[in-house]
Amino acid sequence: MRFALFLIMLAIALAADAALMPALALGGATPSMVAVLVTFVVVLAARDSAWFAAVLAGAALDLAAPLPFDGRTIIVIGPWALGFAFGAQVLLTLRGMLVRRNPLTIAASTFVFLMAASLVWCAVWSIRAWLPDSLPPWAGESVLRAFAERSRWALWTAALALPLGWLLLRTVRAWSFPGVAGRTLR
Amino acid sequence: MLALLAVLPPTWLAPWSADAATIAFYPLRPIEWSFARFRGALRPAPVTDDFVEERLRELTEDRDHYRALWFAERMRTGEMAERLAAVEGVARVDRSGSRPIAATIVSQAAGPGSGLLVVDAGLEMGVQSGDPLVTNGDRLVGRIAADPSERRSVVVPITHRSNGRIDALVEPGSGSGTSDEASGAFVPLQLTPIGGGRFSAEVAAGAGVAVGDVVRLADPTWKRAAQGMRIGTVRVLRPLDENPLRLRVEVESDLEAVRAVGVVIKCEEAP
Repeated sequence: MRFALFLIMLAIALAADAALMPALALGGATPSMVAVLVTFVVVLAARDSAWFAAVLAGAALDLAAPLPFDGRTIIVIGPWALGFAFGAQVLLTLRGMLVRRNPLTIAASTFVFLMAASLVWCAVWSIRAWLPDSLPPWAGESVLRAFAERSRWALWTAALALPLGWLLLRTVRAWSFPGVAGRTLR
Repeated sequence: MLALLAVLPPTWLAPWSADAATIAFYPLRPIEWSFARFRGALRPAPVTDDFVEERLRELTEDRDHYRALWFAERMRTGEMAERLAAVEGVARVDRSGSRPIAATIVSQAAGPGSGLLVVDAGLEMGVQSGDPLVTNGDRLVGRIAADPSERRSVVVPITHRSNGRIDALVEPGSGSGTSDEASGAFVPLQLTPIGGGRFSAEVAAGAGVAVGDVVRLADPTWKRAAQGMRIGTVRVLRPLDENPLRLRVEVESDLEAVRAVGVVIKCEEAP
């Protein structure tokens, strides 16, 4: 996999998530282009590259999510990085059964990936809630409700993954994925 | 390593983590700015009001009214400062005057959970921690979080749960256009953000609050420039099961902060 291309695409996706995707917000759920990109890479790249790319993107997403603390802002690096690592592991386990070069696959995989990642994200923040002065982002609500919100987010992102996945699949040759032939549905 | 980072206490993260993120994302700012401009054109911030034309006219009148009050208050504060200086022999500086700075919301934190916004104005333009942001004249967007950088600042939206309880005043009758400003019979509320751009509060059943009434900030923990700014509109009123003499009030923010692009920061001059 061409990692330089991934880094460029990740930078664009992060900027789009922060500044452009709010225009597509639906019921408070803002879709994530980063998640679609990572799913695309995890479905098609070699295992090690895919896993590393997912962790890197998760860490970047953590860096992009400041939280208020004592009148300041803090960044917690880990919840999304670990979540994306777990999500990537789930997809890597399942991808042998997938028709990889199909937009529907990217969309469904994005949903599975984000649900798995959100599970770990909620778990990490629940553990952090035991630390002194550490409030989870869903302060005042239950973790189940927070997970339900992430489910809506995952669903909307998966819907966006259909057109985005189609676009990304047009560029598949540029990525130099190993054994890119895979199984296709035409 | 990641698992260890993920469970570091917030007090360990506070001194360096936000700065690290700022540095890491610095190269993305021009792209974000371009996307933000495009977003503004693609989906302008809506004003959720049923009677737009009529309400705009009323709001303009409201804005002019409060602006006049604000100037009068500034003059009064200046006069009081002079008196104090004469009595105590200490020169006082009027801190009530605020300087408007136009800014753009360039991004929001990616992914759900954070809810904070970033504007393209910072210390260089005189922005300070706690300065309020407004849009559409008097609609309160939020306030600047601590430690703004030279050219960027993080904003905590008014609807963010970290704001805790917010003191506010309801203008009874403002929804039906029958408010009696001369009587000044505002009804105090203590709002609690409940998510989805809404707040909840309790009020006595006979206080005169009705659906559609306007709610304004009156919280001493917010800067003076934010006082009187519009928070939202009363949308739900229902008796409390445990106390029928009191009503549960739900106030909806008039503005979806994440979709506002152009805002005005009301900067207070440094002493």
